[in-house]
Amino acid sequence: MKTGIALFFALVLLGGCESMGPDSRSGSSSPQASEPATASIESEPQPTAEPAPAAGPRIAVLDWSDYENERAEHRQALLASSRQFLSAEEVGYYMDVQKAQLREILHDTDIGLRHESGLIVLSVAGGDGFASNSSRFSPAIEAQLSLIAPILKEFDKTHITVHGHTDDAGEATYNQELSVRRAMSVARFFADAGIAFERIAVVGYGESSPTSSNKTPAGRAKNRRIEIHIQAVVG
Amino acid sequence: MSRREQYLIGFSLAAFVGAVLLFALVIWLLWLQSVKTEEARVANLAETLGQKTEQIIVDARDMLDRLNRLPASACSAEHVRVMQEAAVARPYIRAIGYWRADSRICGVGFIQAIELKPPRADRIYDSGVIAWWPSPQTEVSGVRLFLMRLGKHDIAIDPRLLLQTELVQDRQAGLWVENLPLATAPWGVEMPALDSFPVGLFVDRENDRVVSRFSLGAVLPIDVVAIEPLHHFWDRYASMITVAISFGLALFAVWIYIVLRFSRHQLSLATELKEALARGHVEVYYQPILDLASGRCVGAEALARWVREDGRVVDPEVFLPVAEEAGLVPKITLAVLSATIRDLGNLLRENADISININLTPEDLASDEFSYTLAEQTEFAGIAPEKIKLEITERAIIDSDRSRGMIRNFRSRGHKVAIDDFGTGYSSLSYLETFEIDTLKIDKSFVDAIDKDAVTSHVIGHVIELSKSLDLETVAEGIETPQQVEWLLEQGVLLGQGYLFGKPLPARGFRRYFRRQKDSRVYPIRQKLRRWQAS
Repeated sequence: MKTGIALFFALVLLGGCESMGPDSRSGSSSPQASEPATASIESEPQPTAEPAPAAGPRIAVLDWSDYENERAEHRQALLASSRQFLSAEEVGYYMDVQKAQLREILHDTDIGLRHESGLIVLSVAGGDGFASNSSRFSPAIEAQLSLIAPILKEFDKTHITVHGHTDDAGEATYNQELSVRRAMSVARFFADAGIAFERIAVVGYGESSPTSSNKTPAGRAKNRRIEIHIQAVVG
Repeated sequence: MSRREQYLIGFSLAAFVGAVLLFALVIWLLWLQSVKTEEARVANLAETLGQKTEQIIVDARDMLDRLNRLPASACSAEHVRVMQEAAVARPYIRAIGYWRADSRICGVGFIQAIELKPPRADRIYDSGVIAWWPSPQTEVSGVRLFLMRLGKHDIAIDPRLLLQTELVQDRQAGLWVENLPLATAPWGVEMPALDSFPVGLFVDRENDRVVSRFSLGAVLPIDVVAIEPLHHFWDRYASMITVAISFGLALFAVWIYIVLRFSRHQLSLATELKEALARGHVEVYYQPILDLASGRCVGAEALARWVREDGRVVDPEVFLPVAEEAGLVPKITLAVLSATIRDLGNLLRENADISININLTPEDLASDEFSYTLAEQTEFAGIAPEKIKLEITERAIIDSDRSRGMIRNFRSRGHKVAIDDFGTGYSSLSYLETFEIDTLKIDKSFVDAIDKDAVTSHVIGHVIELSKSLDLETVAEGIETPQQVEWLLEQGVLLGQGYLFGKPLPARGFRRYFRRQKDSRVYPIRQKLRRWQAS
């Protein structure tokens, strides 16, 4: 059900990504559903109400060829609207703690975790996660994403970019669209989990940056992947 | 260098080396024991401290995990109460905090108004535990805290309480977890880097201390370094060392005593002589006795010669006093008797006009052993008793009735008896009449005086007169010049011995000598003398 919705939104958004870009960047920063007082300490509450598909928040799609600039712009817009940011001294602690929590849930999964200064990168190896020519992710990945989401929600002074990649099967333009659809399906999942959509952007690289050889099925499976870049928002 | 000196040096060296080895052994054993004991002590300390630390870290992690799973609203009265209880139950806890992202929402303990947010975690574990080692960023009121966070809760640990000072006592101790310094005792003492300590115990003489490093690694790598000033070490083992040194000295004394006893035993000539006797190293040399008028050899005096290990021949003047002191004389006499019969048995059997003189001492006459042996051996060898002449000293005759009886017995069996070294022993000559003896031997000292116009030269005339008047055969000893021979012949002394005629010869030499002079033409002694004088 949830994935279905995500797919739907992804398709809608793909249709007018150019025109919607500026729109999403200046999107409102309405707070997400507030945390119920009765929730257990351990688990963050899930959004109580699903947003109506037609009026749902829009997630920005960045152009991969100008990714760094567009991301910076998007982050700047987030900074301007939310005023939720970290000072330079706070970044270390913030990202360390977040990394520790992500590590606890991911250390025995296939999801890779990389940590650079102020940036955490999660790699969702697509092997079994995505079938070829599909933007749907598997229940296994969904379970893991549902564990990641509360942490991303709690550590809200970050900017999240979901990168989509495909293998080289099929047309390049099609793969480009497919990679955006894949990234968007993950992004939508996070937004559905209550993460402010202004914090999220997607970018599709299509088949342009493989990490493995496309000549073997195993290599192609590795290339069908999603990367989640979590970057501290420093003011 | 004499053999005796060699022995002395050898034994001194052996004694010294032995003592040094003994002492070294004792000290070495003591050292091993001390190091072992100290190692055990420090290892025990390190183990206790390490386990305590390990236990605290594991306990803190479990506590954080339980707090995270607590089914209570964040910062509710129940939540705070549970945190409070957890903190109070653990003296090392300074604070427990509940966080949302990087905001401390509520908590218990000493740290309330401060958010400790060190910029760099020291360790992030797969378990989700993130830890900050004591640093300026974790300092509260002058104490650098050890921070651990798991999920939404964190804990501040006072590392001073990890190293229990009552266990450390007067030592210094350092605690490393994950190779990062966590605590020292006494608190704040400077510690070198962990890598500068080798694992195990070592004595750092440069800094006068014993340093020991022990490691645990069951849950986390934990290292404890204990430093103890060397003087503590000595203080602790002073009594033990004293005991050991006393023991060592005692052992040393015993050793020296044993060595000295052994060496004295070994060194004494008596022992050597005894061994020589046992091994048959006492040989007999024969000094020819000649008929002065004819120059014919009529016999010989058997003289003991000790051939020592190195081949040197020792004269009786050297070893006889030793032998007398050790009571070895009778054995020497027996050896001489046996050797004589062995060496000259054939000669004595085949030649009628020859006899061999054997010297007896008072000791030989004190028991019957010589008498029996003499009878047994001469009989067994088929040698007539008159072929064995017995020389005794004046002293032996004076000494006891037993000796006199013995001499009488010898004579009754057919042996001849001679008085040796006549004139040197006793001034009274009265015994000559009371004893039955056959021969009188004039001592060399009288013969030496013959040409020298000394007072003694008059004495010898009287001795010769006395001998003649008692109808005794007279033998002059120590003849060295033809003039002496001439003078003696003029005085009617018919027999003599001395270097002029021949030195004492080994058995084979004597046999050859005897055979040669027997086969050759016999010159009257006067002709010989003239020849000597001419040349």
